[in-house]
Amino acid sequence: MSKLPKPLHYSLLLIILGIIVGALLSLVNMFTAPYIRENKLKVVRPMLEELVSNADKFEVVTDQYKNIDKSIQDVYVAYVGENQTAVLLYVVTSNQYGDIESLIGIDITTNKFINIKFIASSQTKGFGDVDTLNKHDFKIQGADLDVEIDAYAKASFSSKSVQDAINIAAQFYRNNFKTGEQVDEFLEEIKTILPDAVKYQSIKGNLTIDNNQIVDIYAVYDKDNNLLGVVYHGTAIGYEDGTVETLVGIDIENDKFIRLRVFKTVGQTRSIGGKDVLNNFYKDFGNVDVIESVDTKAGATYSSGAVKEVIDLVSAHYQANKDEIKGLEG
Amino acid sequence: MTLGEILTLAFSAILLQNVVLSRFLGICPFMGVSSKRDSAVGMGLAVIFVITLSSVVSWVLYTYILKPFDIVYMRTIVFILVIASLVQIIEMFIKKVSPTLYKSLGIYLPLITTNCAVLGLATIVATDEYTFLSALIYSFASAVGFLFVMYIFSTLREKMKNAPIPDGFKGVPIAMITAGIMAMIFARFAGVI
Amino acid sequence: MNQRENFTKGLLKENQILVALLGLCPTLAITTSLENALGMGMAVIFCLTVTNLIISSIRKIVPDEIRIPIYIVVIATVVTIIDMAMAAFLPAIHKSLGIFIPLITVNCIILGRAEAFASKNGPLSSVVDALGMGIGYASVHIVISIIREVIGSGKITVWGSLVLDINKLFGSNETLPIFTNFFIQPAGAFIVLGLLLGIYSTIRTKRMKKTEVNKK
Repeated sequence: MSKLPKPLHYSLLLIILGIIVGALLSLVNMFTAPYIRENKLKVVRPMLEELVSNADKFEVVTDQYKNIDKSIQDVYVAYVGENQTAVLLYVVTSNQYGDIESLIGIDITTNKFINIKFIASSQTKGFGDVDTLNKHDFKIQGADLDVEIDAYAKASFSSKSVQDAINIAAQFYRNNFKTGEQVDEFLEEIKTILPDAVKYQSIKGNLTIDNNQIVDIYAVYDKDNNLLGVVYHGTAIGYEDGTVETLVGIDIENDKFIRLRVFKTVGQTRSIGGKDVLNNFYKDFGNVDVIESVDTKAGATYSSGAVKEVIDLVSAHYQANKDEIKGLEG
Repeated sequence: MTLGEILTLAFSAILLQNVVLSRFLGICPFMGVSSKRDSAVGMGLAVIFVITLSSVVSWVLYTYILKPFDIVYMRTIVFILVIASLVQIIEMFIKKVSPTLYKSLGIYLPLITTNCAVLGLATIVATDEYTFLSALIYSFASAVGFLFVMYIFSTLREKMKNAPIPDGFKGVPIAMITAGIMAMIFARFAGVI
Repeated sequence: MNQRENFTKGLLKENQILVALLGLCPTLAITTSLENALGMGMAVIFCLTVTNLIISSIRKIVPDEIRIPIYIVVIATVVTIIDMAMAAFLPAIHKSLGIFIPLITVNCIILGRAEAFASKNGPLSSVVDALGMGIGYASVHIVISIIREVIGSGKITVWGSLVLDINKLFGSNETLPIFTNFFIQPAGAFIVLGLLLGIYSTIRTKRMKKTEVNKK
């Protein structure tokens, strides 16, 4: 060795050291890795079971999601039989007082929060520690995804971290689950007219529609397959060539309008003719006969023309096809 | 990444999660080389250089070698070797290219290997799954945050030399308390984001 | 120097935090609770002892020019082993210490003792030196953490079961207003350590003056 030039001698020495170190560490890792994995699940498993008590099994699916918020440490899916029933997220959020590690469950069938459980917290003892947080009701049990969490009166510092965790979970769920087959946003719209709706079926094919402003007609059923009513999907051109897409629900037993909902507006003035504003203007028509001409809301002349147009069209179509629609009931 | 996200990330790295005052990294140089303004700035600039470079290299090694081969437990050794060799290379490079720059920065470079802010940030950006761009921005901004508090702190300490301080508290003890008051101020940035 | 002196010098006379002002990052960061301080103390004592032992044993075969990289690799290896062992067997403490476990690698004390003591002395002396230094270091952590945890929350919890609740002594179930979580925040850490260093150095200078007078 002493005859080797110095740099070579030294690099050889460092390489040998590196090999020894690498071998030693991989040996230690082989020994500790199972314990580390077990530790991770040991903490989480009882909480997973507490959140989804009827689940048959849980799977870690973290690897399936790339580029998710870095606060999300792990993603679990709960199964009942072969069906996914819930998503559970292990979220770590922090502020200058420390980290909060929480487990947030979201029900896939209802798109609502199951609850939040706290796993660990390095925030102030007595205010933001795990026990205190777990005792506090953050009012998200069964809540919608855009829940406003109740700040813990004395611990405004940790409620910010909790709120962050909840928002991150909701965002992840919206991006990865509330799409396609998992969730039907159109059904959510129909539910605003017929709250008991579970299923809807297009009946356009069975009827003659002579006006292309009527996009579709749906028969809406509840969970016991009882017909709740029909919902028309109509569009009309409103203010400044913007379109207003409207759902009109009709109680076919009594021939009455149930409710009208503007669910999409394109090109209309946002603050005056936007969806949110229109929803407020034309919320309920409760018990107005279909035959009656509906008076437009005073003050909303810009788009009320479009809405009125849809109502008239629906009314006309319904009266012309009333018997056929009722005949489809069975 | 939108400009807004970049600014938020940089802002929180510089002020909110300041390496020194909130993460407690790099306290040794913060106390050791902050009694004079010139040396504080020199150290800060050298740190920006090393932190940004070593964090990015560590990120690349972690994401493309350690993680795919499932040897993340080697990270501390790999990162510290990256940092030590980078410091060595930078030192040689600066010595050759710009002797004047070497004169002002060179003496701080060997100290940086054991500056825990460097290893700390390399570990944070690699293991917290930052994207490449956010790792770059976060480590650079954090190092800027280091320079920022080094500068403020050194000016405060220069002024303090003339203040009547009890003998036992002269030097590091009073500097610690001053840093505590600075940390209080920095903690208030939490409300901004 | 006999082994007893070799051991006790690290406790106060050459205490790495109070006198040498080394390894201050974890001293500020993880002293939020006694539990953390104990965990960190154990990790540092273990790491210091093992690295000192290894480095003093190999000191004769390590070429002088590349001793620092070799020391760093040895230290990083020991730290990684501690990191993995703690993750496996003490997961709760491992989690709350977080990044400060791998950062023991760059804790100036470890490299400092390797360079200043272990590279020049035999294995036995090096181990004794490491134990003294490590215990001195851990004691300061423990003192600071007790101060911070008590003033910060009014109680002390160790491993979730052993609890001393001062609030309860006053018949209150909630944290009394005299306890402020300020001391658990970063700012509180700096101020507690600053006061401790100041008080210690005041006492030390007074003592030194006294011994000087006595000698005269």
